[in-house]
Amino acid sequence: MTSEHEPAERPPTPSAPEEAFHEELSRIWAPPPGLLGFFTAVNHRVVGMRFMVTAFVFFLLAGLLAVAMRLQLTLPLLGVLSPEAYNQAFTMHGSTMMFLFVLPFVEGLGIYLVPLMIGAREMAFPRLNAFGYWIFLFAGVFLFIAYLSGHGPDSGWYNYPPLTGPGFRPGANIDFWVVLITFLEVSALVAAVEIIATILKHRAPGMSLNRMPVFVWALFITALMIVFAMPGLILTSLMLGLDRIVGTHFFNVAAGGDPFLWQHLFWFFGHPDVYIMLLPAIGAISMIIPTFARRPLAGYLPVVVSIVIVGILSFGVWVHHMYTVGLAMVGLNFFAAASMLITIPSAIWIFAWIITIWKGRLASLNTAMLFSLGFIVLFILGGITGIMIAAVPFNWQIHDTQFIVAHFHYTMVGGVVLPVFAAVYFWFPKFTGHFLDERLGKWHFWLFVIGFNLTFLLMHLTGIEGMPRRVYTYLPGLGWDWLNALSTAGALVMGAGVGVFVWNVLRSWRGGAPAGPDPWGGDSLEWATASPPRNYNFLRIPLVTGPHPVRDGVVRESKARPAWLEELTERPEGRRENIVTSVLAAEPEGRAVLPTPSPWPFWAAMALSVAFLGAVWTPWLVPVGLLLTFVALVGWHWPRDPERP
Amino acid sequence: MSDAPRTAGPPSGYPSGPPRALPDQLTGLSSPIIWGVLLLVAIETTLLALFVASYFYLWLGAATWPPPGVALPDLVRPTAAQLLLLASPLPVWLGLRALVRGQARPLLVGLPLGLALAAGYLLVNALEYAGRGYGWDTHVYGSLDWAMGGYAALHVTAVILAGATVWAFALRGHFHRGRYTGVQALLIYWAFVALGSLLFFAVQYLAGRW
Repeated sequence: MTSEHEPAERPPTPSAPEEAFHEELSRIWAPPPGLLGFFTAVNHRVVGMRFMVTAFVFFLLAGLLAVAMRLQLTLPLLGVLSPEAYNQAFTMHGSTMMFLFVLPFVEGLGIYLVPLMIGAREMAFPRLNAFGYWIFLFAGVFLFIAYLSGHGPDSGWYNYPPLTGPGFRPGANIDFWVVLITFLEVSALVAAVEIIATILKHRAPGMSLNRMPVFVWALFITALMIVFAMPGLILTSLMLGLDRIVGTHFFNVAAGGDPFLWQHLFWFFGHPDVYIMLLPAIGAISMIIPTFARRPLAGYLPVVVSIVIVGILSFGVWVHHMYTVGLAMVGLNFFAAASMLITIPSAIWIFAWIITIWKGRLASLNTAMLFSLGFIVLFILGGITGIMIAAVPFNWQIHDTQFIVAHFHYTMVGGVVLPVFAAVYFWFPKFTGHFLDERLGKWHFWLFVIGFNLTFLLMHLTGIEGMPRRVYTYLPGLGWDWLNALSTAGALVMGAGVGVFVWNVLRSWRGGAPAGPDPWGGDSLEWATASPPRNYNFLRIPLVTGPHPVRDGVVRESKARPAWLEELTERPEGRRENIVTSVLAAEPEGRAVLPTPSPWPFWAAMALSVAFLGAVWTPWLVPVGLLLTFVALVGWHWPRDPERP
Repeated sequence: MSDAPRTAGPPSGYPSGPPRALPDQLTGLSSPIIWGVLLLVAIETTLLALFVASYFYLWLGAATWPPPGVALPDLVRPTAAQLLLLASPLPVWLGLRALVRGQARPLLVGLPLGLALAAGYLLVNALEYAGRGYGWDTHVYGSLDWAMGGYAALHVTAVILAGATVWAFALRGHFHRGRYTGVQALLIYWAFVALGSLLFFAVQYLAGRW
């Protein structure tokens, strides 16, 4: 890779003290070996990679469910899936994609990359990180066990009462959804707290907020949105769980409850959730495009401000999911206006990327760049239909049709999955030290994008022609046959694209062309260390003197480093240490001594799953599980010796 | 236009002068742990706010509130319980202040005192709820009322368990004037539980009398 940036100079041959320092840090940060080590690992790169790989497995499972649904709809009156199986398939597909794939994947990407981008050795709370992963894993596995044992939830991913109330849907199916989704959100909140605290307190000295990479900004705002949006989902699913398990009446009209309360609380979470998933993608694209366009991002400030504005606006649009429930027109107008307002910051991002490409010198269209450009096109299409359905009268016409399915797949697949693929092609060399194969990558891109458009572009038409969503079949002669047949063909092409990707990852993980520390000429700190990074991330804590730490080349200059920084980074005294800096200017404040690997996060997650999952059988397991969790938390925090933290 | 705002001004984070030792015990807003606790409080405050919003949403949809035949509870016992809970973090706070000045003893006394006050809240409130003429499954008013009581009880229990653990650490000599972040974290959460419960008190017992 040729680069217009300051060429990524190779680190000089290590001197003897350098080598000794490396040995010492390696010893301190080494993960525990063996099977026990697997359960006690806390390193952010291990946890981040586990999040991504696990989430991707759930993506594949949910994709198989989608293929099954498409096969059922290929022609009228097919019998591939029974109505009941179809209901479970679309519910599991939606719940898995939203809760078990997109959010955990982007969290994993953030957990892996944020410390590297801000020049930290580790995240603020390593054990909490591991705890969050175990919760995510248990919740996902239990949900699929419930599904495979015939207790799959079957009322759609947003699970509206009264359909899901105890009166209309007895049995354990919905119970599993309610307790496991609530449980899962604990994991999202844990990751959010972790990311915010790390970004605020562990940036390398000199990385003031206005020097933070856009990806870090995006993750920061995303995490803040999780903090304020997830409680809505937790509250409402707790209420539904109580209604179902102990007989409260929050959503029971006969006893004074109100099912619309569910819709308000669910979408108070649900719409910000869309942007919670989108913003990390925006951040990733804003790192990838400038790298290949060989110039800084045009409009760093407007892009970051737009991220913040979308974060705020997204809390004011939830009612646009509820236009048809009969709310007052004045209210609807407010929410319609707020929904349309979001196009302004979205347009700012798109113009910033276009200007960056235009004013830069795009060397080649490699796979990461292809996925980025594909994302821009599909995101614009999804945005345009978004403006259409933000208009109340149009919304009334196409509500609950395949048009809506097409719209949100353009925003979610176009807006999140394509950037996720772009990010994987871009950062895979950092994760593994090897490139993904470019030829397979282009096959992946074209199969996936052509298949996607074949499936979902046509679905707009199917929806306008009147086909509702969530029907397991339809009658012939309604004009929907050829549209559905082509959509199914498209889904299979898309699936083939994903298959190529899986093959590419498997063969490139160890066998791909070797990549150096900075294969693309990147400009953020993760490129200033080895690929894959050592256990301690950076031999020396970087000192940031400008917005382009790698291009400015100051990171590796040891002459300019003040003595206190040398002292800090070269005397770890056998402890895992992270530098702590001030919130705004990132001036050094102290050193945080981090906890060591521990099995307690695993046990705490096990104990908490007794409380949540147990509630399906008897509420009495809740206090038992909570007490066990307390015991595990005491073990987790027990000081190793009174004189050491 | 591109990155002018990022390069303006002198580079920060460049303290010059002689080497200085960076402390490895951080307290207050310097400590990432305190930020973690503050974020936990932000999460739970959002939860409380949404619950209170739900309460008034359901109230607005009801013809009469509380439902016919249900009287607003008497104020004496709930007020007493609330005062106990509001007072409970104070001895811990005094103990922490003394610890920062170098005296370990007040914290060793203040923690059990605070725990006793919080346990008093649980006891008085249990008596209060035992006298309720309705359950959580009677009507939605009952569901909300019991949910608020249960939420508060669960949180006070969590504070008691966490406080007892901190007390055990303190008895082992874990905390001293150079290390008290754990006590700060406990105290922040404790104060949040006391004040959050005050919000529920206002909704449960005062709003209906207005």
